[in-house]
Amino acid sequence: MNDLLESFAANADEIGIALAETGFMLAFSLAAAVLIGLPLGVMIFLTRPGGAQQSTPLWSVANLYVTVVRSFPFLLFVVFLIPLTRALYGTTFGTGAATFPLCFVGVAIYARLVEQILLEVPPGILQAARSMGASSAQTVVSFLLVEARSGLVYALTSAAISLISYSTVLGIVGGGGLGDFALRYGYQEYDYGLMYSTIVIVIVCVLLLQTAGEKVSAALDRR
Amino acid sequence: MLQATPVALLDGVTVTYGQATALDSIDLTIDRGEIIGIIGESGAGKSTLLNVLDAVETPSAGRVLVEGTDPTELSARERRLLRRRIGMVFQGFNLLSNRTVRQNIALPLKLQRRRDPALIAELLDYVGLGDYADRYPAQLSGGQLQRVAIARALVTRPGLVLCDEPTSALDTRTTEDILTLLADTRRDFGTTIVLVTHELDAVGAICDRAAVLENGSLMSVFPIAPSARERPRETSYLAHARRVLGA
Repeated sequence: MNDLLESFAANADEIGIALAETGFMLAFSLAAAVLIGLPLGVMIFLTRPGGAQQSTPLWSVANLYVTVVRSFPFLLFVVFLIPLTRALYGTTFGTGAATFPLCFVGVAIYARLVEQILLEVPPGILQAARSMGASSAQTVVSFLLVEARSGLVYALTSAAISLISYSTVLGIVGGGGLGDFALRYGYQEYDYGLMYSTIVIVIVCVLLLQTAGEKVSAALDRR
Repeated sequence: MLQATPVALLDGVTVTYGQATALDSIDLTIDRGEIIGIIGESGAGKSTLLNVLDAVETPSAGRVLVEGTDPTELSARERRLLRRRIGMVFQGFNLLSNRTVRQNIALPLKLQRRRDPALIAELLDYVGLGDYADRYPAQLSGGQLQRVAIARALVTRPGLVLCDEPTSALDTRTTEDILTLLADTRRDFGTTIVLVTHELDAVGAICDRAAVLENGSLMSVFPIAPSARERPRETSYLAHARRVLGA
């Protein structure tokens, strides 16, 4: 136990940095999920066959993007994106560049979750919107997103937790973060105590996120 | 009663979906200020007729005039604007569960970037829900929810309100309350009401005329006999059960 505390204390700065790196990657990929994934999910919902704004070309492209990104083994996806990452960032290494592939995944995961949640909104709500002469934008903002809001927050929590899991792989391109730290300072240095305690930190972070997500979601739900 | 231009006029209106004929050459005039019942069994074409009146469904043949305009000559946007002048009440209420009663009633105005808190307060009192303005739909009973929906339909002061099975999800006592509210609405605001229902009692209670649909055809339109108005006023649920079940 003393050994564990000592090795923990000796690495406290590194752990702090790793935590910050994970936070950075999560913040940016979540921002992408909300800013791009949410509209994309709404678009997939509206343009789907039989949807309110049915459009086969738009739906096919968006749906294909989500399916391909989600089925791509993430490690290979990171490698696959290297040319694009280099073109945009000038480097393929470091936390900033590593966030790039994570954003793609965040967008794809959240878009699919958004679509599923919107499919659960009672059809009567869309009927009401139509009868009031709501425009497409009004239907989304004043009806769909209002009724789906607690589910959307809950889904964002799930997406965040998946993204933490995905981010652990990004050590391969120098992304850093808690997963990378546990692997390099714990596993590869045969310091299993440090490895497990880092994993415990990850679990605590996930628990906190999950609890916060549930609380916000419940507070928004009046059904 | 005002007998100016009719609120709606259907002339040989036919609606087909592929091979199936949902409405077959319907001729119908809906006069200003009347309450007309559209009755028929499931699949008779009641909902399609309602959608034609709400400018949602475009006839394959024939001519429609709603509030003096032909929806088929309008762009999609103009049809949307026409729909804003027509109120709609649904069987399932279709209220937003994450919005308060007051916000639900204000929604049609909000979509038109209008605000009228005084009118909303007045309507809340009119439907008897003045004390419920800040409640959420989940906290209300079925009859109260339909009152909210009626207030929401009236907030734009529409000349025409379309009701799609408005009492079919309600019990007997509540049904009577909602029908009374609809009849009062016509009396107090001069609103023309189209009541689509399969409940003949409801039509007898408040309608001036009944239009009977069968397999997409309009079989007959006739005035409601005064005797239909005199429905037994049950004093209790027991009295109602006794009358219906014959105990």
